[in-house]
Amino acid sequence: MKLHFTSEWLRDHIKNDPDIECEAGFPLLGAEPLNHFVGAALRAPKEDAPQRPAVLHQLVRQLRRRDRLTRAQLAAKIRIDAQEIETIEADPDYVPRPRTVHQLAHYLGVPAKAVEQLTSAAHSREDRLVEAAHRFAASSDDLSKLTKAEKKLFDDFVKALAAFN
Amino acid sequence: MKELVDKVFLLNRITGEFETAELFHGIDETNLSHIEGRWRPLFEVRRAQARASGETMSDINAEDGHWNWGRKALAAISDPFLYDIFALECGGNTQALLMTCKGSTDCFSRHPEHPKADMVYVEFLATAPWNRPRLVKEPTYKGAGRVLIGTAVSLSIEEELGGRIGLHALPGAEEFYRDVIGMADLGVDNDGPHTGLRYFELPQSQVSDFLTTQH
Repeated sequence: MKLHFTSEWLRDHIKNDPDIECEAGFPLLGAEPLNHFVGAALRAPKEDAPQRPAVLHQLVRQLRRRDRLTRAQLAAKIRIDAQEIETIEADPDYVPRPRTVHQLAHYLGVPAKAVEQLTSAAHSREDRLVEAAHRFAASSDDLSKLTKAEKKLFDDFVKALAAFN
Repeated sequence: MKELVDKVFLLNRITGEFETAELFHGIDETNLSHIEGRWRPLFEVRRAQARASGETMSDINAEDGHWNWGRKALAAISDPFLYDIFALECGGNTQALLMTCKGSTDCFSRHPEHPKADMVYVEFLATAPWNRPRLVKEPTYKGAGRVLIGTAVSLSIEEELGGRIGLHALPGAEEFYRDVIGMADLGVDNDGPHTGLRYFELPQSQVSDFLTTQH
């Protein structure tokens, strides 16, 4: 994210602004309500968690193949950093930022929660989604144009994500 | 994930010098431990002092009612993807936090210039207790509000929402939003979770002025 103000603007205003309170919204008096906003990557997956196929990297890669986008083009379309797309594709255990998950979900037209289920930070998973993810994970992941069969698998998987409740 | 957005500045009121601060997108366990281990004890001491001296909790923006409501509201959030949280760090401490939302019922403009337009809503903007002029006699850093409102406007621009933002000011902060930031005062909410709080918006037509006007 880029800041749309300059250092000069900031220094000048801070110097000249009156010395008054600026609190807004609800008064934060402790950390407890913020626990579930701490980076998902910091939540270690439980050891007894069931085996889940890591498919987010594959979903993103095939999404680019379907729409014939480079990483930079996809990043620009969903307004995230191209480096993060590269990291998602390269590291199946990488947990993207919530905003990235939201932007990807919005682009795919599926609930953000469904995309979160494809990351290693997911706490639980719907059986049907696990099944769909296994089928999808077994599909090809080369970077050429999607074949008809791959396109069908991709579409079926997106449908399963869209139906995630 | 916590990522550095940029380096900014805060004015150390004690030395009179600007210090480099870091603005992060996202928070981590360190920020939580600062709030729980450094902010909270100071709030508690100050609340006890206020009770003893006859000040109201409203005088120091530490009302239990608002806190309990906010605590429940945040705990009930089922879709954290709609929220962005920013931490401002300086001098080895968390100096302020900002949480914004894009996508709840609060995220629609009430301004006559663009009624119901999407915008970024500030769920909360909170500075460390040692930076608050109403809470401590000699506050430390100045400028956290300016940095974080600039951040909310920047986020709104990045999200293609034209820089539009809205928020409910806490008592004592109305002047900051109306006269310092230049937001439109759209009156006090008479119902809903923000009952009694004054609502402000920065309409799109004012965004350019906000980002360019210098004193």
